[in-house]
Amino acid sequence: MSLDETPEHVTLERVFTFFEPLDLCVLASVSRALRGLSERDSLWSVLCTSLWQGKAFVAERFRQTPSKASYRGSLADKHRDTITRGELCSLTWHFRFKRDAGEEWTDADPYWKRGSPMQWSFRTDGKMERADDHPELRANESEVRRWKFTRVSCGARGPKGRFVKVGRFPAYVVSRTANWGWLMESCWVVLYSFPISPYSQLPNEYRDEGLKVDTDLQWAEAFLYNNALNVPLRYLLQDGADSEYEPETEGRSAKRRGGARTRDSKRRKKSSPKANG
Amino acid sequence: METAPMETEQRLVKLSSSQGDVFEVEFGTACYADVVKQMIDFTSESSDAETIPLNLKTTVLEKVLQYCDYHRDNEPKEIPKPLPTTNLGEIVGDWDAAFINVDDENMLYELILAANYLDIKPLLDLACAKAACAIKHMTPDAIREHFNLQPEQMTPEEEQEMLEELKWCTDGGAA
Repeated sequence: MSLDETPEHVTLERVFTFFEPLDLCVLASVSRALRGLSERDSLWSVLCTSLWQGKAFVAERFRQTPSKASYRGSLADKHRDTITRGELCSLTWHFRFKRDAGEEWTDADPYWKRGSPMQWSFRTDGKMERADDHPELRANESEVRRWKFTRVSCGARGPKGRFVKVGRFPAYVVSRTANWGWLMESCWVVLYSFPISPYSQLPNEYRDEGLKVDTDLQWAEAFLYNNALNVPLRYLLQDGADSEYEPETEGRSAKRRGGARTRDSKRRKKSSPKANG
Repeated sequence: METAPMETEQRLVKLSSSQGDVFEVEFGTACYADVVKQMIDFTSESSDAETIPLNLKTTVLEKVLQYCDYHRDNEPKEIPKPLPTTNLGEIVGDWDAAFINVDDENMLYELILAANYLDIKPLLDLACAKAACAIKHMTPDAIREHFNLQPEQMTPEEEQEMLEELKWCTDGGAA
């Protein structure tokens, strides 16, 4: 069978639509003609559809152009644990308290009462909004809730998109789930980017015991919140205090603020961040 | 599509192969292939209507008609892409698996071309899936032999790139 004649080329392409990625990659190493054929978007879009089916999240840039590059890119991207502003704001977050938050909160949480979680959306203007009809915990919304990316949580620095700070609450730490969804958790709450089942049917990975952030890890933030203390978290870092830090607020010199901040200087900095010893 | 009165249903249709062999088949069987259906002269009252010539070898036409005759009353199963297994019987059932299990590889490719020509999508899928099963899991050398290709000299860069690809293909899917 020759590969050059057009009808057979079409035929071959149809045959290859039944192939898995590995089959296509093997094919690509056979000859340049087959390599060209094996890279067609028409073949990979079938595989993309199959791969992405049932996945909680696939970045828009892959979805828009299903191809070999998108297939491969999406496989790598499922491990990305920094969320972009656009992604955070485009998703509806299913919220529940963890048991560690205490009964006062879990008793009032519609998720613990009925298995149906509150929903929150993050807006690009920095505000947060309830996106469900549950009557519970509405009183809390009298104060406007605001979110921002923060670079410090759990006693460590993270890249932009790793930690999301809401009001004075302990920051949400961003991670990924097996179904390619997003999960954000603090020591007291969890937000899922996809609908969740009641706790008795919840996979272990999503239950309190399967999650990573607890009050040991986030003790400082929990302590500050509980004592209504307003201390920038970077002052609590135990690692190299003089490592770089770019302030979220614009207009201030990162260098000046990030400069030699030793443990000695921390205490002074609380009251006067600019006094640099 | 004209409504088919009873006599049309029972009517026989004559199809001839490129070798001149004529097959007389039931209307329902012939119409399984939309292309053939469109060629049938509905205005003709007589049962000995003209023969429809098809550009298919006798053996291939016979095989295609066998498929149409069976599947006019048995909805063929959708074949998932990519193939979850190379055991076609598990996917399409015993009849289809046996039907497409042809000894002669050329017959398989002729069936693909015939299904394409007559626009019988489930047969096209079945034959293509069968061909895919044959090539899946072959080594590059075996595929080269299968397609009668000369080995090509790859540059070191190309070889490196291919190794990379095989790597992400094999472990990229792991959770």
